Amino acid sequence: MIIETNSITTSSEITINDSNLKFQALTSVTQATTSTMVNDYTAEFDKNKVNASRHTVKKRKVLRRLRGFIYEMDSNNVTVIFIDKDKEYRYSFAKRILIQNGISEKNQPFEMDEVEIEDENGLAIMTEFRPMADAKSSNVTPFNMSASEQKSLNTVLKHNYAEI
Amino acid sequence: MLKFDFYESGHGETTIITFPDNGIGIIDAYPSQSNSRPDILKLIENKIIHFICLTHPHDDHAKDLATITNPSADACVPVLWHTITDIHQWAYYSTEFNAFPAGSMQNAIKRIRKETAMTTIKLFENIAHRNINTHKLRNDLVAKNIAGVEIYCLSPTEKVQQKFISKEVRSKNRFPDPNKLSAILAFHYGKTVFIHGGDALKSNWFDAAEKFFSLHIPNATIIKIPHHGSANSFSFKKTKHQHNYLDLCDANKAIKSILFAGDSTHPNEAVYQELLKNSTVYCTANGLKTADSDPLNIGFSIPGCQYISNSNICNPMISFECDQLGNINVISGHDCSACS
Repeated sequence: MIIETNSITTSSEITINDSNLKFQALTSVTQATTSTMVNDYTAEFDKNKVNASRHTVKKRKVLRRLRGFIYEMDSNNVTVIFIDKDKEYRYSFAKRILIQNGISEKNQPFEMDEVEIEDENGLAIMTEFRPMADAKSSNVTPFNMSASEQKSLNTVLKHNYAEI
Repeated sequence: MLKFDFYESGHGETTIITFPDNGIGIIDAYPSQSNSRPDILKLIENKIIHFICLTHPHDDHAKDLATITNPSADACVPVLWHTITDIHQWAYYSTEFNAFPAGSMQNAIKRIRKETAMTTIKLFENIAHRNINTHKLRNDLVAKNIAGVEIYCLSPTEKVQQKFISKEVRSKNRFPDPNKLSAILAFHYGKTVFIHGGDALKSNWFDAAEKFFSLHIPNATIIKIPHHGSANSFSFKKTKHQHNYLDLCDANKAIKSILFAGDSTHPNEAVYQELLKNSTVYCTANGLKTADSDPLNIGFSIPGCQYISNSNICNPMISFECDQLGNINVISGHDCSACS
Protein backbone atom coordinates (compact mmCIF):
# COMPACT_ATOMS: atom_id res chain seq x y z
CA MET A 1 0.00 0.00 0.00
CA ILE A 2 1.36 3.39 -0.92
CA ILE A 3 -0.16 6.34 0.77
CA GLU A 4 1.26 9.74 0.10
CA THR A 5 0.12 11.59 3.11
CA ASN A 6 1.35 14.10 5.60
CA SER A 7 -1.26 13.11 8.13
CA ILE A 8 -0.44 11.52 11.46
CA THR A 9 0.38 7.84 11.46
CA THR A 10 -1.48 6.39 14.37
CA SER A 11 -3.09 3.02 13.73
CA SER A 12 -6.54 4.55 13.90
CA GLU A 13 -5.63 7.07 11.23
CA ILE A 14 -4.45 4.32 8.93
CA THR A 15 -7.71 2.50 9.40
CA ILE A 16 -9.60 5.57 8.29
CA ASN A 17 -7.37 6.03 5.28
CA ASP A 18 -7.87 2.41 4.39
CA SER A 19 -11.59 2.81 4.42
CA ASN A 20 -11.22 5.93 2.33
CA LEU A 21 -9.27 3.97 -0.19
CA LYS A 22 -11.91 1.31 -0.31
CA PHE A 23 -14.36 4.06 -0.89
CA GLN A 24 -12.39 5.12 -3.93
CA ALA A 25 -12.51 1.62 -5.26
CA LEU A 26 -16.23 1.48 -4.95
CA THR A 27 -16.95 4.60 -6.86
CA SER A 28 -16.03 5.88 -10.21
CA VAL A 29 -15.46 9.36 -9.06
CA THR A 30 -16.42 12.81 -10.05
CA GLN A 31 -17.93 15.62 -7.97
CA ALA A 32 -21.18 15.05 -9.85
CA THR A 33 -21.71 11.62 -8.25
CA THR A 34 -21.84 13.02 -4.75
CA SER A 35 -24.93 11.22 -3.51
CA THR A 36 -23.69 7.78 -4.51
CA MET A 37 -20.36 8.52 -2.94
CA VAL A 38 -21.88 9.43 0.37
CA ASN A 39 -23.88 6.24 0.58
CA ASP A 40 -21.02 3.95 -0.26
CA TYR A 41 -18.68 5.85 1.99
CA THR A 42 -21.05 5.62 4.93
CA ALA A 43 -21.52 1.90 4.51
CA GLU A 44 -17.82 1.19 4.29
CA PHE A 45 -17.05 3.56 7.13
CA ASP A 46 -19.42 1.60 9.34
CA LYS A 47 -18.16 -1.83 8.34
CA ASN A 48 -14.57 -0.76 8.71
CA LYS A 49 -13.44 -4.01 7.08
CA VAL A 50 -11.26 -2.91 4.27
CA ASN A 51 -8.44 -4.30 2.26
CA ALA A 52 -7.00 -1.50 0.23
CA SER A 53 -3.62 -2.98 -0.52
CA ARG A 54 -4.35 -3.52 -4.20
CA HIS A 55 -5.02 0.17 -4.81
CA THR A 56 -2.24 2.58 -5.54
CA VAL A 57 -2.60 6.26 -4.96
CA LYS A 58 -1.17 8.07 -7.94
CA LYS A 59 -1.85 11.60 -6.84
CA ARG A 60 -2.96 13.31 -3.68
CA LYS A 61 -3.90 16.96 -3.54
CA VAL A 62 -5.25 18.98 -0.62
CA LEU A 63 -8.10 21.06 -2.02
CA ARG A 64 -9.09 22.85 1.15
CA ARG A 65 -8.12 22.96 4.80
CA LEU A 66 -10.55 23.93 7.56
CA ARG A 67 -9.82 24.39 11.21
CA GLY A 68 -12.22 23.76 14.05
CA PHE A 69 -12.60 22.51 17.58
CA ILE A 70 -14.93 20.33 19.62
CA TYR A 71 -17.61 22.44 21.21
CA GLU A 72 -19.89 19.83 22.77
CA MET A 73 -20.17 16.07 22.90
CA ASP A 74 -22.87 13.65 23.95
CA SER A 75 -22.82 9.88 23.91
CA ASN A 76 -23.03 9.64 20.10
CA ASN A 77 -22.63 13.02 18.51
CA VAL A 78 -20.25 15.89 18.53
CA THR A 79 -20.85 19.57 17.86
CA VAL A 80 -17.86 21.23 16.28
CA ILE A 81 -17.20 24.83 15.40
CA PHE A 82 -15.27 25.49 12.22
CA ILE A 83 -13.64 28.90 11.90
CA ASP A 84 -13.38 30.00 8.29
CA LYS A 85 -12.39 33.56 7.36
CA ASP A 86 -13.09 34.66 10.94
CA LYS A 87 -16.65 33.30 10.80
CA GLU A 88 -17.98 30.48 12.97
CA TYR A 89 -19.88 27.53 11.54
CA ARG A 90 -21.42 24.89 13.80
CA TYR A 91 -21.77 21.35 12.53
CA SER A 92 -22.91 18.13 14.15
CA PHE A 93 -21.88 14.59 13.21
CA ALA A 94 -21.00 11.21 14.71
CA LYS A 95 -18.42 11.45 17.49
CA ARG A 96 -16.56 8.32 16.37
CA ILE A 97 -15.40 10.07 13.18
CA LEU A 98 -13.21 12.35 15.29
CA ILE A 99 -12.33 9.87 18.02
CA GLN A 100 -10.87 7.44 15.49
CA ASN A 101 -8.49 10.22 14.52
CA GLY A 102 -7.35 11.05 18.04
CA ILE A 103 -9.70 14.01 18.47
CA SER A 104 -11.70 13.33 21.58
CA GLU A 105 -11.63 16.24 24.03
CA LYS A 106 -13.78 19.31 24.46
CA ASN A 107 -11.97 22.36 22.99
CA GLN A 108 -9.45 20.14 21.19
CA PRO A 109 -8.59 21.84 17.91
CA PHE A 110 -8.27 19.93 14.67
CA GLU A 111 -7.74 20.37 10.97
CA MET A 112 -9.95 18.92 8.32
CA ASP A 113 -8.48 18.49 4.86
CA GLU A 114 -10.56 17.99 1.80
CA VAL A 115 -8.33 15.85 -0.34
CA GLU A 116 -8.50 14.78 -3.95
CA ILE A 117 -7.01 11.35 -4.47
CA GLU A 118 -6.43 9.67 -7.78
CA ASP A 119 -5.87 5.96 -8.28
CA GLU A 120 -6.52 3.47 -11.08
CA ASN A 121 -10.28 3.78 -10.53
CA GLY A 122 -10.37 7.52 -10.96
CA LEU A 123 -10.66 10.54 -8.72
CA ALA A 124 -12.12 10.67 -5.23
CA ILE A 125 -12.67 13.60 -2.92
CA MET A 126 -12.54 12.77 0.76
CA THR A 127 -11.95 14.34 4.13
CA GLU A 128 -9.14 13.70 6.59
CA PHE A 129 -9.15 14.80 10.21
CA ARG A 130 -6.00 15.56 12.13
CA PRO A 131 -5.63 16.82 15.72
CA MET A 132 -3.79 20.13 16.06
CA ALA A 133 -2.88 19.23 19.63
CA ASP A 134 -2.70 15.95 21.47
CA ALA A 135 -5.83 14.97 23.37
CA LYS A 136 -3.86 14.90 26.62
CA SER A 137 -2.03 18.18 26.14
CA SER A 138 -4.62 20.52 27.63
CA ASN A 139 -4.13 22.72 30.68
CA VAL A 140 -6.77 24.36 32.80
CA THR A 141 -6.40 28.04 31.95
CA PRO A 142 -8.35 31.08 33.13
CA PHE A 143 -9.93 33.43 30.61
CA ASN A 144 -8.38 36.83 30.16
CA MET A 145 -11.16 38.84 31.65
CA SER A 146 -11.83 42.52 31.14
CA ALA A 147 -12.05 44.73 34.23
CA SER A 148 -15.85 44.67 34.15
CA GLU A 149 -15.96 40.89 33.70
CA GLN A 150 -13.56 40.43 36.58
CA LYS A 151 -15.75 42.72 38.67
CA SER A 152 -18.80 40.59 37.83
CA LEU A 153 -16.98 37.44 38.88
CA ASN A 154 -15.74 39.01 42.10
CA THR A 155 -19.26 40.12 42.98
CA VAL A 156 -20.52 36.56 42.57
CA LEU A 157 -17.64 35.04 44.53
CA LYS A 158 -17.97 37.46 47.44
CA HIS A 159 -21.74 37.40 47.77
CA ASN A 160 -23.40 35.29 50.40
CA TYR A 161 -26.49 34.03 48.57
CA ALA A 162 -29.53 33.83 50.79
CA GLU A 163 -31.13 30.41 50.47
CA ILE A 164 -34.85 29.97 51.18
CA MET B 1 -57.22 29.09 35.91
CA LEU B 2 -53.63 28.06 35.31
CA LYS B 3 -52.03 29.31 32.10
CA PHE B 4 -48.92 28.17 30.31
CA ASP B 5 -47.24 30.34 27.67
CA PHE B 6 -44.36 28.98 25.62
CA TYR B 7 -42.47 31.45 23.42
CA GLU B 8 -40.29 30.80 20.40
CA SER B 9 -36.79 31.62 21.62
CA GLY B 10 -34.34 30.70 18.88
CA HIS B 11 -32.21 27.81 20.10
CA GLY B 12 -33.26 28.60 23.70
CA GLU B 13 -36.49 28.44 25.67
CA THR B 14 -38.95 30.73 27.44
CA THR B 15 -41.90 29.49 29.53
CA ILE B 16 -44.20 31.74 31.55
CA ILE B 17 -46.77 30.25 33.91
CA THR B 18 -49.67 32.39 35.11
CA PHE B 19 -51.07 31.13 38.40
CA PRO B 20 -54.72 31.38 39.52
CA ASP B 21 -53.85 34.56 41.48
CA ASN B 22 -52.49 36.13 38.25
CA GLY B 23 -48.93 36.04 39.55
CA ILE B 24 -46.36 34.50 37.23
CA GLY B 25 -43.42 32.12 37.29
CA ILE B 26 -40.76 32.29 34.59
CA ILE B 27 -38.90 29.11 33.71
CA ASP B 28 -35.81 29.84 31.62
CA ALA B 29 -35.76 32.71 29.16
CA TYR B 30 -33.89 33.35 25.94
CA PRO B 31 -34.61 35.93 23.25
CA SER B 32 -35.84 35.02 19.79
CA GLN B 33 -33.28 35.81 17.11
CA SER B 34 -36.11 36.59 14.69
CA ASN B 35 -37.89 38.82 17.21
CA SER B 36 -40.97 36.59 17.13
CA ARG B 37 -40.97 36.71 20.93
CA PRO B 38 -41.61 40.15 22.43
CA ASP B 39 -38.97 41.65 24.68
CA ILE B 40 -38.95 39.77 27.97
CA LEU B 41 -39.46 42.94 30.00
CA LYS B 42 -42.62 43.68 27.98
CA LEU B 43 -43.91 40.17 28.64
CA ILE B 44 -43.64 40.55 32.39
CA GLU B 45 -44.57 44.23 32.62
CA ASN B 46 -46.90 44.99 35.57
CA LYS B 47 -46.97 41.33 36.59
CA ILE B 48 -46.34 39.99 40.06
CA ILE B 49 -43.50 37.51 39.84
CA HIS B 50 -43.61 34.51 42.18
CA PHE B 51 -40.29 33.09 41.02
CA ILE B 52 -37.87 32.83 38.17
CA CYS B 53 -36.29 29.44 37.52
CA LEU B 54 -33.03 28.52 35.84
CA THR B 55 -33.49 24.82 35.11
CA HIS B 56 -29.75 24.38 34.53
CA PRO B 57 -26.76 26.66 33.93
CA HIS B 58 -26.71 26.86 30.14
CA ASP B 59 -26.84 30.21 28.38
CA ASP B 60 -29.74 29.22 26.09
CA HIS B 61 -31.87 29.04 29.25
CA ALA B 62 -30.27 31.83 31.25
CA LYS B 63 -29.72 34.83 28.99
CA ASP B 64 -33.03 36.63 29.51
CA LEU B 65 -33.21 35.73 33.20
CA ALA B 66 -30.18 38.03 33.44
CA THR B 67 -32.22 40.69 31.62
CA ILE B 68 -35.11 40.33 34.08
CA THR B 69 -32.82 40.59 37.11
CA ASN B 70 -30.74 43.45 35.74
CA PRO B 71 -30.70 46.24 38.33
CA SER B 72 -31.89 48.70 35.67
CA ALA B 73 -34.99 46.59 34.97
CA ASP B 74 -38.20 47.32 36.77
CA ALA B 75 -39.10 43.73 37.60
CA CYS B 76 -39.44 42.73 41.24
CA VAL B 77 -38.03 39.22 41.54
CA PRO B 78 -38.44 37.58 44.96
CA VAL B 79 -36.50 34.38 44.33
CA LEU B 80 -34.38 32.51 41.82
CA TRP B 81 -34.89 28.75 41.69
CA HIS B 82 -31.84 26.88 40.44
CA THR B 83 -30.06 23.53 40.69
CA ILE B 84 -26.42 24.58 40.96
CA THR B 85 -24.72 22.73 43.77
CA ASP B 86 -22.33 25.50 44.73
CA ILE B 87 -22.72 28.89 43.03
CA HIS B 88 -19.24 30.13 43.99
CA GLN B 89 -17.55 27.04 42.70
CA TRP B 90 -19.60 27.10 39.53
CA ALA B 91 -18.73 30.72 38.82
CA TYR B 92 -15.05 30.21 39.53
CA TYR B 93 -14.64 27.15 37.37
CA SER B 94 -16.74 28.49 34.52
CA THR B 95 -14.11 31.20 33.99
CA GLU B 96 -11.52 28.54 33.28
CA PHE B 97 -11.32 26.22 30.33
CA ASN B 98 -9.23 23.36 29.03
CA ALA B 99 -6.78 25.08 26.74
CA PHE B 100 -4.80 23.23 24.10
CA PRO B 101 -1.59 24.51 22.54
CA ALA B 102 -3.50 25.49 19.44
CA GLY B 103 -1.94 28.66 18.15
CA SER B 104 -4.37 30.69 16.11
CA MET B 105 -7.40 28.67 17.25
CA GLN B 106 -6.82 29.54 20.89
CA ASN B 107 -8.34 33.00 20.75
CA ALA B 108 -11.51 31.84 19.04
CA ILE B 109 -12.02 29.02 21.56
CA LYS B 110 -11.44 31.38 24.46
CA ARG B 111 -13.85 34.00 23.14
CA ILE B 112 -16.67 31.51 22.50
CA ARG B 113 -16.25 29.80 25.87
CA LYS B 114 -16.09 33.11 27.70
CA GLU B 115 -19.29 34.44 26.09
CA THR B 116 -21.18 31.35 27.27
CA ALA B 117 -19.76 31.45 30.79
CA MET B 118 -20.41 35.16 31.30
CA THR B 119 -24.17 34.77 30.73
CA THR B 120 -24.61 32.71 33.88
CA ILE B 121 -22.15 34.85 35.83
CA LYS B 122 -24.08 37.96 34.80
CA LEU B 123 -27.29 36.39 36.13
CA PHE B 124 -25.74 35.60 39.49
CA GLU B 125 -24.09 39.02 39.63
CA ASN B 126 -27.57 40.58 39.25
CA ILE B 127 -28.94 38.28 41.93
CA ALA B 128 -26.14 39.46 44.24
CA HIS B 129 -26.59 43.16 43.42
CA ARG B 130 -30.29 43.03 44.13
CA ASN B 131 -30.01 40.64 47.07
CA ILE B 132 -32.54 38.29 45.52
CA ASN B 133 -33.16 35.09 47.44
CA THR B 134 -32.22 31.77 45.93
CA HIS B 135 -33.85 28.39 46.26
CA LYS B 136 -31.87 25.29 45.36
CA LEU B 137 -34.14 22.69 43.76
CA ARG B 138 -33.66 19.04 44.67
CA ASN B 139 -35.99 16.12 44.26
CA ASP B 140 -36.29 15.24 47.95
CA LEU B 141 -37.68 18.64 48.96
CA VAL B 142 -41.32 19.09 49.87
CA ALA B 143 -43.72 20.57 47.34
CA LYS B 144 -44.23 24.31 47.11
CA ASN B 145 -47.74 25.69 46.90
CA ILE B 146 -48.39 28.82 44.88
CA ALA B 147 -52.01 29.99 44.65
CA GLY B 148 -53.34 26.46 44.97
CA VAL B 149 -50.86 24.91 42.54
CA GLU B 150 -48.56 22.26 44.03
CA ILE B 151 -45.08 22.35 42.51
CA TYR B 152 -42.90 19.26 42.86
CA CYS B 153 -39.25 19.00 41.93
CA LEU B 154 -38.71 15.55 40.38
CA SER B 155 -35.05 15.98 39.48
CA PRO B 156 -32.09 16.35 40.06
CA THR B 157 -31.30 14.15 43.03
CA GLU B 158 -28.78 15.22 45.63
CA LYS B 159 -26.50 12.43 44.41
CA VAL B 160 -26.38 13.96 40.93
CA GLN B 161 -25.73 17.42 42.36
CA GLN B 162 -22.85 16.12 44.46
CA LYS B 163 -21.08 14.89 41.33
CA PHE B 164 -20.59 18.53 40.37
CA ILE B 165 -18.48 19.24 43.43
CA SER B 166 -16.50 16.00 43.41
CA LYS B 167 -12.74 15.81 43.80
CA GLU B 168 -12.33 15.12 40.10
CA VAL B 169 -14.14 18.30 39.16
CA ARG B 170 -12.00 20.31 41.52
CA SER B 171 -8.74 18.84 40.29
CA LYS B 172 -9.40 18.72 36.55
CA ASN B 173 -12.12 21.31 35.99
CA ARG B 174 -14.24 18.64 34.34
CA PHE B 175 -17.88 19.12 35.10
CA PRO B 176 -20.30 16.40 34.11
CA ASP B 177 -22.80 17.45 31.43
CA PRO B 178 -24.71 20.40 33.00
CA ASN B 179 -27.90 19.04 31.43
CA LYS B 180 -27.73 16.37 34.16
CA LEU B 181 -28.41 19.15 36.64
CA SER B 182 -31.61 20.06 34.87
CA ALA B 183 -34.68 20.57 37.00
CA ILE B 184 -37.80 18.59 36.20
CA LEU B 185 -40.84 20.29 37.69
CA ALA B 186 -44.41 18.99 38.00
CA PHE B 187 -47.27 21.48 38.43
CA HIS B 188 -50.37 19.90 39.98
CA TYR B 189 -53.64 21.82 39.85
CA GLY B 190 -56.71 19.66 40.49
CA LYS B 191 -56.79 17.13 37.67
CA THR B 192 -54.28 19.08 35.59
CA VAL B 193 -50.62 18.13 35.75
CA PHE B 194 -47.95 19.85 33.67
CA ILE B 195 -44.36 18.63 33.58
CA HIS B 196 -41.54 20.94 32.57
CA GLY B 197 -38.63 18.75 31.53
CA GLY B 198 -35.88 21.39 31.25
CA ASP B 199 -33.02 19.76 29.36
CA ALA B 200 -33.07 16.63 31.52
CA LEU B 201 -31.30 13.57 30.16
CA LYS B 202 -32.36 9.91 30.13
CA SER B 203 -30.96 9.06 33.54
CA ASN B 204 -32.69 12.08 35.13
CA TRP B 205 -36.01 10.66 34.00
CA PHE B 206 -35.37 7.34 35.76
CA ASP B 207 -35.09 9.28 39.05
CA ALA B 208 -37.96 11.59 38.14
CA ALA B 209 -40.30 8.69 37.39
CA GLU B 210 -39.54 7.06 40.73
CA LYS B 211 -40.36 10.28 42.56
CA PHE B 212 -43.42 11.04 40.41
CA PHE B 213 -45.01 7.64 40.96
CA SER B 214 -44.49 7.98 44.71
CA LEU B 215 -46.52 11.21 44.74
CA HIS B 216 -49.75 9.53 43.61
CA ILE B 217 -50.85 12.53 41.59
CA PRO B 218 -52.58 12.22 38.19
CA ASN B 219 -50.36 11.60 35.19
CA ALA B 220 -49.46 14.66 33.17
CA THR B 221 -51.53 15.89 30.27
CA ILE B 222 -49.08 18.61 29.24
CA ILE B 223 -45.34 18.18 28.99
CA LYS B 224 -42.51 20.46 27.88
CA ILE B 225 -40.26 18.04 26.00
CA PRO B 226 -36.73 17.99 27.44
CA HIS B 227 -33.56 18.93 25.61
CA HIS B 228 -35.21 20.03 22.38
CA GLY B 229 -36.35 16.47 21.59
CA SER B 230 -32.86 15.01 21.45
CA ALA B 231 -32.07 11.29 21.56
CA ASN B 232 -30.03 11.54 24.76
CA SER B 233 -33.07 12.53 26.79
CA PHE B 234 -35.43 9.77 25.64
CA SER B 235 -35.02 6.13 26.62
CA PHE B 236 -36.23 3.68 23.98
CA LYS B 237 -34.95 0.66 25.94
CA LYS B 238 -37.54 0.35 28.59
CA THR B 239 -36.80 -2.02 31.42
CA LYS B 240 -38.52 -1.83 34.76
CA HIS B 241 -36.52 1.22 35.82
CA GLN B 242 -35.77 2.79 32.47
CA HIS B 243 -38.75 5.06 32.22
CA ASN B 244 -38.94 7.84 29.70
CA TYR B 245 -40.93 11.04 30.11
CA LEU B 246 -43.97 9.73 28.25
CA ASP B 247 -44.42 7.17 31.08
CA LEU B 248 -45.27 10.10 33.34
CA CYS B 249 -48.04 11.21 30.99
CA ASP B 250 -51.63 10.04 30.81
CA ALA B 251 -51.82 7.44 28.06
CA ASN B 252 -55.62 7.53 28.00
CA LYS B 253 -55.95 11.25 27.45
CA ALA B 254 -54.80 13.55 24.69
CA ILE B 255 -51.35 14.56 25.86
CA LYS B 256 -50.08 17.89 24.64
CA SER B 257 -46.34 18.07 24.23
CA ILE B 258 -44.44 21.28 23.62
CA LEU B 259 -41.25 21.14 21.64
CA PHE B 260 -38.58 23.85 21.53
CA ALA B 261 -36.47 22.55 18.65
CA GLY B 262 -34.85 25.79 17.61
CA ASP B 263 -31.97 24.48 15.54
CA SER B 264 -31.63 22.30 12.49
CA THR B 265 -30.32 19.29 14.44
CA HIS B 266 -33.37 19.01 16.70
CA PRO B 267 -35.53 17.10 17.36
CA ASN B 268 -34.21 13.60 16.83
CA GLU B 269 -36.33 12.00 14.10
CA ALA B 270 -37.09 8.80 16.07
CA VAL B 271 -37.99 10.75 19.22
CA TYR B 272 -40.24 13.02 17.19
CA GLN B 273 -42.07 10.01 15.71
CA GLU B 274 -42.65 8.67 19.25
CA LEU B 275 -44.03 12.04 20.28
CA LEU B 276 -46.37 12.16 17.29
CA LYS B 277 -47.55 8.62 18.08
CA ASN B 278 -48.25 9.34 21.74
CA SER B 279 -49.19 12.98 21.96
CA THR B 280 -50.37 16.07 20.13
CA VAL B 281 -47.16 17.94 19.39
CA TYR B 282 -46.92 21.72 19.40
CA CYS B 283 -43.58 23.12 18.23
CA THR B 284 -42.28 26.63 18.66
CA ALA B 285 -39.74 25.62 16.01
CA ASN B 286 -38.79 22.31 14.48
CA GLY B 287 -35.48 21.54 12.79
CA LEU B 288 -36.98 18.61 10.88
CA LYS B 289 -39.13 21.11 9.03
CA THR B 290 -36.17 23.28 8.13
CA ALA B 291 -34.42 22.95 4.78
CA ASP B 292 -30.85 21.70 5.13
CA SER B 293 -28.11 24.16 4.42
CA ASP B 294 -24.37 23.69 4.32
CA PRO B 295 -22.44 26.96 4.03
CA LEU B 296 -19.02 25.27 4.07
CA ASN B 297 -20.18 22.58 1.64
CA ILE B 298 -18.69 19.73 3.69
CA GLY B 299 -21.78 17.70 4.49
CA PHE B 300 -21.40 15.46 1.45
CA SER B 301 -18.11 14.03 2.61
CA ILE B 302 -18.83 13.42 6.30
CA PRO B 303 -21.47 10.78 7.05
CA GLY B 304 -24.48 12.20 8.91
CA CYS B 305 -22.99 15.71 9.02
CA GLN B 306 -25.46 18.53 9.59
CA TYR B 307 -24.97 22.27 9.67
CA ILE B 308 -26.50 23.77 12.82
CA SER B 309 -28.69 26.71 11.88
CA ASN B 310 -31.85 28.24 13.27
CA SER B 311 -35.05 26.29 12.62
CA ASN B 312 -38.04 27.75 10.85
CA ILE B 313 -40.60 29.04 13.32
CA CYS B 314 -43.77 26.95 13.70
CA ASN B 315 -45.52 28.89 16.49
CA PRO B 316 -44.25 32.22 17.86
CA MET B 317 -46.32 31.43 20.95
CA ILE B 318 -48.14 28.39 22.29
CA SER B 319 -50.63 29.04 25.05
CA PHE B 320 -52.86 26.73 27.09
CA GLU B 321 -55.34 27.55 29.81
CA CYS B 322 -56.28 24.78 32.25
CA ASP B 323 -58.85 24.38 34.97
CA GLN B 324 -58.94 22.12 38.03
CA LEU B 325 -61.13 19.59 36.23
CA GLY B 326 -58.36 18.86 33.78
CA ASN B 327 -59.85 20.75 30.83
CA ILE B 328 -57.26 22.30 28.55
CA ASN B 329 -58.14 25.21 26.33
CA VAL B 330 -55.69 25.95 23.51
CA ILE B 331 -55.53 29.73 23.30
CA SER B 332 -52.68 30.10 20.86
CA GLY B 333 -50.72 27.82 18.57
CA HIS B 334 -51.39 24.93 16.22
CA ASP B 335 -50.19 21.36 16.46
CA CYS B 336 -48.05 19.47 13.95
CA SER B 337 -51.08 18.03 12.14
CA ALA B 338 -51.62 21.51 10.72
CA CYS B 339 -48.23 21.31 9.00
CA SER B 340 -47.81 19.39 5.79
